[in-house]
Amino acid sequence: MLLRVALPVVSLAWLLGAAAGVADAAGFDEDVLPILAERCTQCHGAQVRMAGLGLDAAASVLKGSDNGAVIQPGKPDESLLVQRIEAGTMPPGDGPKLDKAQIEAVRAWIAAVQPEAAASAASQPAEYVSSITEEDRNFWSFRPLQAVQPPARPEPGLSPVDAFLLRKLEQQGLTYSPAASRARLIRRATLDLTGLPPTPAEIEAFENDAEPGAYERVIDRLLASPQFGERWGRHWLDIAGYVDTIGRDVQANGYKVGPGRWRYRDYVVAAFNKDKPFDRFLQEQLAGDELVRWRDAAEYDPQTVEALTATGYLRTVEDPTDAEERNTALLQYSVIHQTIEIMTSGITGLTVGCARCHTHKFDPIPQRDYYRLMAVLATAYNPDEWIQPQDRVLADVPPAERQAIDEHNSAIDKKIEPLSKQQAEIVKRGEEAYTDARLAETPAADRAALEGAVRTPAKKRTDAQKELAKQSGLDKIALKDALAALSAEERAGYDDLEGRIGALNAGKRSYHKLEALYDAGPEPVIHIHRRGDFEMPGDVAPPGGLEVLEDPSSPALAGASESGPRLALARWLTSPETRAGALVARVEVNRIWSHLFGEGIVATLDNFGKMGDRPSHPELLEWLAGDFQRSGWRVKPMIRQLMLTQAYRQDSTRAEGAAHAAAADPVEVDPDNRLLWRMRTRRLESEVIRDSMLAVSGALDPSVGGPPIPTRVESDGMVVFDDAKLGSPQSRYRRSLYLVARRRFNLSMLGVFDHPVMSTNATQRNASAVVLQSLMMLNDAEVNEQAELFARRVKAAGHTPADQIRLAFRMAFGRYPAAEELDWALAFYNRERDRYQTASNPASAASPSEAALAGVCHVLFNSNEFLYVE
Amino acid sequence: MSNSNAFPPFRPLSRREMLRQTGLGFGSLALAGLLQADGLRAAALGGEPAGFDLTPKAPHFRPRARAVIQLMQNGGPSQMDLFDPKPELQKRHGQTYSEKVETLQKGSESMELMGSPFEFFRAGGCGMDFSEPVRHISSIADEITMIRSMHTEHNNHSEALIMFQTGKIFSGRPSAGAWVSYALGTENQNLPAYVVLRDPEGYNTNGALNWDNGWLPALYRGTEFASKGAPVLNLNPSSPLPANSQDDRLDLLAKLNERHRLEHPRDTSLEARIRNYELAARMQLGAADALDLSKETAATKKMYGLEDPRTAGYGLRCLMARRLVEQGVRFIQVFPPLRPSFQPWDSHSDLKEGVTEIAGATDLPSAALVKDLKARGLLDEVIVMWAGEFGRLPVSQKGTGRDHNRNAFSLWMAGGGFKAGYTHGSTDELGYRAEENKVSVPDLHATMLHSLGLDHERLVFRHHGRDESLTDKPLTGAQVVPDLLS
Repeated sequence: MLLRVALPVVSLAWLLGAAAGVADAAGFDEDVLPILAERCTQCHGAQVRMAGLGLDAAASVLKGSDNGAVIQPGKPDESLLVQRIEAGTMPPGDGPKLDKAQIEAVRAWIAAVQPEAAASAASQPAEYVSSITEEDRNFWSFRPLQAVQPPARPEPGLSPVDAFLLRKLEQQGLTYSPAASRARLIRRATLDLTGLPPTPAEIEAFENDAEPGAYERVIDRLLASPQFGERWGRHWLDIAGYVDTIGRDVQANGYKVGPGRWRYRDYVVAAFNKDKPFDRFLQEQLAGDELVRWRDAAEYDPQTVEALTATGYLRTVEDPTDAEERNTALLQYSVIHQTIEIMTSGITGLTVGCARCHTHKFDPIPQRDYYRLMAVLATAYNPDEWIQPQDRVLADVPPAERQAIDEHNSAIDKKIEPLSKQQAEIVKRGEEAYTDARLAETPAADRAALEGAVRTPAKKRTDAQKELAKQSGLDKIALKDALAALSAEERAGYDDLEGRIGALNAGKRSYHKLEALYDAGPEPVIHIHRRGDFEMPGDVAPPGGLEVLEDPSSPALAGASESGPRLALARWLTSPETRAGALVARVEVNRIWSHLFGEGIVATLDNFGKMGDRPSHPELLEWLAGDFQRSGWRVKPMIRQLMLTQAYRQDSTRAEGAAHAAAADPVEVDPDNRLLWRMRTRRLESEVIRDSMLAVSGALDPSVGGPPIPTRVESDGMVVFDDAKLGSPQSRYRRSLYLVARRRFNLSMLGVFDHPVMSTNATQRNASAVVLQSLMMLNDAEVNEQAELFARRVKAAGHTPADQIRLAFRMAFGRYPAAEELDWALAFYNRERDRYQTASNPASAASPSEAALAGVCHVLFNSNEFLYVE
Repeated sequence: MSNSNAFPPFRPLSRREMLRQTGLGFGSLALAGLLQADGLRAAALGGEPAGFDLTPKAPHFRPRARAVIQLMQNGGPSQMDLFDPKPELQKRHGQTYSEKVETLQKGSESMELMGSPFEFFRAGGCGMDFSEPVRHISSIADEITMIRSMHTEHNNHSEALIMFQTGKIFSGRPSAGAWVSYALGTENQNLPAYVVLRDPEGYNTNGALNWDNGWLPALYRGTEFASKGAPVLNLNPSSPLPANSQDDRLDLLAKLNERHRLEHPRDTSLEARIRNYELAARMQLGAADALDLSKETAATKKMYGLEDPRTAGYGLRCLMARRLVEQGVRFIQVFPPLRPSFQPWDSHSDLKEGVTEIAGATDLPSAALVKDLKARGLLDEVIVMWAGEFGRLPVSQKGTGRDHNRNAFSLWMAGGGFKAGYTHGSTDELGYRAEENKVSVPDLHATMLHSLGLDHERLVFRHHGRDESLTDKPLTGAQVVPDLLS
């Protein structure tokens, strides 16, 4: 790769002028440029350089296109440029072509160009000419935050958010729907803040709380609960593209869990629970290693560990370079590409990835910007000094201590090694003795065949022998069987070794691994990859941000030399003074809004560019973004403010044509409900569906944090808990957040309900309604198990079947059944009970009445009301 | 995710429709499409257009084929041991190769040329070349297009297979089957559009990535059909219920849901979910029928090798593929057995034994499928593709095997307008590199889409602000290969 020295513009021009000599003297600017400017530079100019070719300056013509030279100095006939314009293939299309005189002028200029001039131009970096216009900078999402005032309203105590929303509604002759019932409201608020439904006691308490501020108290209680961080942390983990696996995660089983991955997940949950300011949250994730002193610290305080853990954000992409055969430049760059995609789609809400191969077609994002971002990451994801993912780890202790611990432990391992060998020999003798004994028991007729099978090394067994060995259990002899077959003396020897190994192991010291990102090696020089191909290096791209968001007064990476480029970038993205900070605040408040209202003010959460949607309430969004910044980027107060609005508290079920306070029919005026004349119904996310079933059945294990709960893929493709590897049987009832997060083989229950496939990240969840969901809810064993537990719970709490069914409705839906619903359910219950009573071979161990109640509970789980939030 | 659909047969989505989708979900509209098939959609939706669904769509131009059966030969079948005889290689067996070769398993490579341990012969009126292990395939020589000049971009299984399915070596993109389902929908609304048939014992390389929807809506993902037990996950209750219990549950559910729906007029996703429970029952029948071989004659079963334990597993999947394609399924992937390994054609050592074993399991049923389709008059409208992810090297590995080769491999196509009895392209004299009429994987995809009546440049989906396609012509230069088609 050529290292190129950036020269000041003046001397560059001078150099080119001197070298190009005759070429310029012959007058490119006078004779040729006017011709090319008329016909060619629209596609091959400063703004757009198709095929990397610029025909707007002598230097860039001499430099050629991505595919090579377009002119041969002194040889017009051999010059591609002349060939194409003479053939009429350029300019393309039906428009006017160059005429004879014009072509002659181009030929004359080429004839006069000296070979040295072309050679010199080809090796010079092109002078960077900005293509960003004032109009680009004034696009709504790229502007600095606009000062807006909430409309003045007559109602006392109306929130600014409601003032903005009502103004728009009233302009259309609309208004809000009536307030939702308290039961419906607390279900909505509890699901939104914790991802779990409210308990009957919580609903009761809210319904009976006649004091002012009852609703505020519910919100404050929920915001303070540890489940808040689990719910909102999950939203962010989608944005980060969190997975627990390292390397390629494409095989059904045999996935590798990164030992420190989950600490980043727990960091995110804790950050939301303690309401870490969002600016600090981003800074830690993008550059925690630059925020704290860790390389030479004598010891780490909790802040240091936290900051290093936070950089796990930059380690979520699929890094296939863990295997030697995949540790290639192409795949190394793919790691950086995907990381840029995650950063820019999640934090800036822009499709910067388009600029990987060419300047963005719709948004003012030059290709150079993309590689400036790559240069920011490349001090850590260093293509010159690539670290494989399994080695890219830090510890929660300083490097020197980590090394000391490693040495200490490996010295112990050396002592253990010979002891283990002796143990293994004893076990082997035990296995032989056990095998001999088993063979002796085998009827003589079968003995020879079995003996032949088990004495053959496992790999050389025929299929029949494998089957024999497997059936006899002699292919894998349990340790306890082998030990039991030993003589007393040998057994004592084994136990003695075991004791000695245990004592040695007890002397080991440990630390936790953190999968972090940190600078490695000397700062690399990053070139633009022409056409996105790293083997076609273009000009050097110095570390930087997005040009359209930069003001001359605030270049993205001011101060990068002291802090390192990532921290400089993070600070720029979170500064209230920059356009970047304005965009980041808009993107984040819009996302918070979407989690509460079901759609963003900008519906395309990850595209605030020209092809994205425009805000439905632009002034409201500006006001919220400003408020977010002014209140210190705090997420909890923002959520609280939105949930206290009348908009959030209104009902979701206003019927068409029903009488309203307003004159207009909202369905006519605003069929898509963009103005929020009623609350939106939303299907629950995959985790919330599963967690709600566990909560309602009482099975939920509410423990927080820790290593992920393992799953495995069965031969029929079903993803289930890996029972053999569960720490305790209870762990299958942990919240879904804590199940091992894989790229695609997630628990079937989750996968079928649109749990995202984490190719990179998930900027928006789908809410599909496919038939596999119905099959899952109807027939899956886990769903049935939860329905049975649910039934047992309500049976214990209610005296009569009617009481039990009423309670089941309250727990599943947050409300009691209407009279007809109770009638239907009771009639079903009686029929179902009769069926179980007369069934000759009931599958369930439960009593007929319990089985019938489980049937009712199962139907409630299947119902739309359970799967949706109103 | 902001998805719009630039595929001409669909009306481009307005901003408003897009909002509806992000609010209500693609699947709901997909199901709305299913309702349309029932003639119920108009009532449910008030005549609004559907977005993403599986109803049959018109192709861009008159198609040759309506469906695809991909016979995936995972592991890297050895071209010079099956379809691409190299007399020069036989002659120079044991000599040192002078060219630099790209190998995967460093340390075990040798530069010693290794001739094929198999005899070659010519078959059919066209005189196509085959080796002994694929004698049954040789019997359909006059039906197939043999491509000897394939090449790909990575010599590791995982990447090459991702490339073969999705057009790029990076994971996360939609597979060809997902693209085809997205473009054309399916003809039978009681079955998935895109069905996967694999060894019931487990997965081949990359598992479910082979039928991933990537960033296409989830309804275009391949659905695994088991060839044992219930064909679809959760198709039947996990534990048996008393008679009539299921129907009674569905009845109570329908009443509760209907009451709830009346409170939420115009919410199509609620409606779709209600109809899903009926669809579930229909699928139970449809899927069970696909598996029901009682309607097949003994002769047919024998033809597919169902009576021989060596061929029975893969043979059953081939026969199921034919039944599914008859019933209107659009794209079917058949995966090979997991023996001798889960990448069964991966003959790093003992190539002779390995190829004999895997060919022994797949040769007869692969040929039977083509013959059976032909006999039933279906071959014209169904593309059969027999392919692995790459080929193998002319030099030996461990003395008896061959390492991976991305620079040349052979595969064959049948039906759907692919030229019958035609051999396309060639490799160098030793079979290391494709030389004449080279065909890239994106070229093959473009040609397959062409046969389905689809223009690979127009079949696009907007993702993260870019019009993505299976072949990504701007980056790959993919071209339809007209010579492959009659």
